Amino acid sequence: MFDAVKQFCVVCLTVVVATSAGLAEAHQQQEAYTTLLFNPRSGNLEISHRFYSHDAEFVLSRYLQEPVNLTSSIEQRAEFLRYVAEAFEVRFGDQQPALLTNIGSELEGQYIWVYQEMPIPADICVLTVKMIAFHEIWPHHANHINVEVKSGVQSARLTGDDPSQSFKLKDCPGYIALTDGNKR
Amino acid sequence: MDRAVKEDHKYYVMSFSNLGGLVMPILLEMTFTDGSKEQLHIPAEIWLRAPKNVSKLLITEKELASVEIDPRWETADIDIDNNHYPRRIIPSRIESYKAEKKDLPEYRDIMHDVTTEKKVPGKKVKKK
Repeated sequence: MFDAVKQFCVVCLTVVVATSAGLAEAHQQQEAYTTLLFNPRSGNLEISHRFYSHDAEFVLSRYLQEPVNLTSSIEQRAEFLRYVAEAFEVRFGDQQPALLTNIGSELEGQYIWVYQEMPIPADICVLTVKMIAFHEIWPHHANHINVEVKSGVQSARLTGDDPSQSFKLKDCPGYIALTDGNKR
Repeated sequence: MDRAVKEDHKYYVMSFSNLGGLVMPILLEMTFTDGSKEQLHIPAEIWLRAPKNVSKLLITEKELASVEIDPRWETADIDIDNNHYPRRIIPSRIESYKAEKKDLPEYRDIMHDVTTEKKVPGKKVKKK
């Protein structure tokens, strides 16, 4: 009888430990998404960044050295917009980083969106995107970039080891598929 | 033919293309000129006829005003730009963001706070 109780306790303990270990490992993927949309209707290159609010609050609290609540504080949301604007840059060809206009930010469920835009420059064939958001804290954090043009979508995943990527636009006459050698 | 003329029904042939490659049922919402709506669910087996392009004949008593594919986003369609007839312009995320009317206080533009003139409160008249 005593052995049966002991065995039952061991089984229960094993289940509890296994369950708690599973919970400890359950964390959302550390990644953010940036979409560059060449919008012919507006004539703008529209840039939308999507981050997990939880990650954004953590990073911003380190950055500002104060507790952050993006849901209640629009000032902190404006700070996060400035942080993203500093972390992101886009270049056309060998030019200097393009001047982007910060449109705003909004919360949607567990995400925070940050919006930027600029007029589409003429005759662009190559653009280079650099995104280093969150890499100072999590170098393995993946910033997924989607470049949407008329002919389709080109993507790249940028991490702390490789924070920038060049895209040769397919609509450009001299299009050559990108290889690893095109990375900067 | 005579019967068709006698019945005076409307005949529509709708053509669908499988651009993404994944076979899905075609969920249609049809709006007629009198404002009424009807749902039509075409099973995925329709793609057995042809994997790329299929056509569907629709016979109705009412005149068709518009058709929308998958209005409740129940299929794995990632491009909703081409789901409407007549073609409808789908605003981008930033266009939607700009178009939203932001009256709520949390949407106030703090960058323009410095340009806003302060209102001087008037003297309160105490009621006796």
